[in-house]
Amino acid sequence: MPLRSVQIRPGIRLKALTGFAVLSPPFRQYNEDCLNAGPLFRMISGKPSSAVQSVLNELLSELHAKSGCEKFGLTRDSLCAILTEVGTKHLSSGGPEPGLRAFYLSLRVDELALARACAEGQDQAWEVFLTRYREKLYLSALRIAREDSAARELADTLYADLYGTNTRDGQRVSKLASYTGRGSLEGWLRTVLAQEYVNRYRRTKRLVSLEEESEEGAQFPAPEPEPIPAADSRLSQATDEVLAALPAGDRMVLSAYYLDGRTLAEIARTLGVHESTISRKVDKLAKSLRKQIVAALGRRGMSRRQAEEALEVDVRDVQLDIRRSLAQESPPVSFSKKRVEAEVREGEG
Amino acid sequence: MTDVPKIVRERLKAGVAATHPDANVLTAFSERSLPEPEREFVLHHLARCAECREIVSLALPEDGSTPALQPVSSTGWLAWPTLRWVFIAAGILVIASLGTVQYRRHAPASNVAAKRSGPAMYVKEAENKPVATPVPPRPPTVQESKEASDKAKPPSVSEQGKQVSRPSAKPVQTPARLAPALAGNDFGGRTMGGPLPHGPRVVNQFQQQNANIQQQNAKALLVQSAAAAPPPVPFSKPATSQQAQAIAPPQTARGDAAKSAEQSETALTVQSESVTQQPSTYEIAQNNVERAKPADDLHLSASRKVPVGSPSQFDTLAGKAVTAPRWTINSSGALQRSYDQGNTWQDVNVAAAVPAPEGSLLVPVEKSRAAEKDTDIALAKKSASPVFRAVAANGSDVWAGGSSAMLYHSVDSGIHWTRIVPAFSGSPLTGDVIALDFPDPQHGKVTTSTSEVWITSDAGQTWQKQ
Repeated sequence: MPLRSVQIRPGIRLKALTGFAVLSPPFRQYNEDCLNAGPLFRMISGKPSSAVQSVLNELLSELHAKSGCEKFGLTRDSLCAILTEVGTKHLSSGGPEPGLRAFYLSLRVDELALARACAEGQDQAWEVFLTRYREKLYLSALRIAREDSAARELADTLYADLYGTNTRDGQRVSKLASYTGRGSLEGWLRTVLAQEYVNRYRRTKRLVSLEEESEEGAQFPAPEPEPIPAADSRLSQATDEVLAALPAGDRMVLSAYYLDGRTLAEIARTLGVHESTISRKVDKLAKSLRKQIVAALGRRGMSRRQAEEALEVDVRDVQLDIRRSLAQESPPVSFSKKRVEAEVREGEG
Repeated sequence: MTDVPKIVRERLKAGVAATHPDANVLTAFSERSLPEPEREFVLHHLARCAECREIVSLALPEDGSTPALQPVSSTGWLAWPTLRWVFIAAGILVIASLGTVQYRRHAPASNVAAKRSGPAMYVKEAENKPVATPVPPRPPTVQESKEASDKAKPPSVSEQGKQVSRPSAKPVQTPARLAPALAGNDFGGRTMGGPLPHGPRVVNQFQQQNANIQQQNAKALLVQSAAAAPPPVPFSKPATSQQAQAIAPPQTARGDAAKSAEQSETALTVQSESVTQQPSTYEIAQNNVERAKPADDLHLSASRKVPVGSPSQFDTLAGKAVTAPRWTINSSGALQRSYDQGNTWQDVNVAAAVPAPEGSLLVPVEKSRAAEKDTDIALAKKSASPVFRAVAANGSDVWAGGSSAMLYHSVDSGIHWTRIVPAFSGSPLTGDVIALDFPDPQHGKVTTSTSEVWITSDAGQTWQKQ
């Protein structure tokens, strides 16, 4: 692994700082230099908006003091360019202009400076990064991968990406250059690890399943689009209508609990609430969903009894092709007859 | 847990996920630092994208050290589920207050009735009432003082002597306690007036002492009662004067009763007379005692060295449940706290914060004289007009910093504050504190306007300057 071995010196001391207020030229001149500097300007995609410029005019001193970028080998100009890039990207991704000031104040500029200095290859920044995050990175990888060798491989792969072993147009590209300071650097590293793990797992699973099936001699039939019978569509539509009306948080909780099989504690930690809150919410949602779907089916012409029967069949988790049984190619038959047909079909299958 | 219909599971899977949020946005979402509209957008995506849900779940920290938990309330305060609990809490409060009022009304009547029934009943009451509590039942003790002064000392009636001896233990203690409590001295500073950790055992000791010197105790009681008259808080002065007046007649009655030992009946008569007089003085004394209670509580607060006047300490003393508040710094640099999710804010005053007690978090590690002088100057400047620039909170653990190297720490949501002066190798922190980053109560980073960065891993006990 082409990682540079960095000797970590304990007790790193800060170099003497020059008098910031005395030696630095007036801010406006700095800002203009920052935005018009030749090599730094290339970092910015497109001309920075006036909103970004005006907000940075006001906040750059404070952000610069918070960042301590000089100790990582970054200049004030570099920091200004980085902040301009981050703000411009935020606006282009839909961030509101009035919220730009709060956005900049919420940034973790110290960690942003560290990450970007590492991306530029500054040695002192890498020293600090390794001291702070090397151990944590491995522990996070171990928690995600749950196995030592897989965790080491995951962590080493990420280190390579962070260090910048990849090149683009002859220049080293470090993943740390994409860190924007919106969350903590440690949290960002965990998220990137998790993304890498999920991507790997998805690729591995697809490969393994294909290999297994090919060994068994199975063909890979093209997926047949199943016809959606008209009667069944009322149930799907009613359910879609009810689910669409749910708040995003409620739907996310339902998906995490019933689809992903996450525990209430995990969901609570994800959303930052107490476990009991999630427990009450899931219980309440499960009870109210049934009533709402029955009401929605009623608006679509089903009687209450029919609607409850339709839901009742789903809940019993019978090996039943619901779409076919609800198909209305033939006139609607009573429920008992449908059941008999389903059982017959099951016997055949 | 109630299950959902199967169709619901199927349709939950059917959602189409838009472009995945990048790692920065997902991290900010997990750390609750996204603004509400953006958080809503991410939730909308997570509701439909299993992959991103998996990533967010895997990326959670192991120890759960995420920002302070917030209750999820999508329905608002006026929804029935919330109102239901509000009504229940209101009902409990009403019942508790009615019960308290009823108890107070009946308590003096029952005590007066017990006194009238005779000395035997009175002894039982005295036995039952605990003497070791820091705030003993004052009304009976005030009565006892009058009883002791009224009663003669008939040597032939040994039981009566015992009765007198036992109650006199209490009046000896109570006025002495009242005096230091109201004067704001250390609670329990006097040997006879302090709290009695040993309870009944100490009472027995007093019984033995008072059995031998009954009249001397009664005299001492009168002197102490008179001494206790001035110290009470201003709003109890009328009651105090009346109390002093009430003491005088019993004195006279005691002198009459002491004429002969065979005049026990007379003594009892006098006693009964003083008893009949007592309702008025008793009630006044009771009011005096009851009104003295807030002063006692204030005294307790003072003994803890908390700046008086901060409303939060009264909340704690009243036993209200205080959840972790929110913190902010307003435009004029004042530190503010909200207990109601940001609806109302109160200024928090740390300028009167007491110096840290022994063994606290002050870290004058190898301070040079020059450094100490600089720190003193900084402290003097700070006390003039504190301007805060940064605040960080982890539940009830709060750090606040600002101009002139000002840095304060509280572990109880701002009720008590400790001034912290980070120092490393003889050099203290200089400049204004402009940023505080405390992911948990132990680990933190302080950034100053002079571009200093101070790190602590032990909740501010030791610091390193980077």
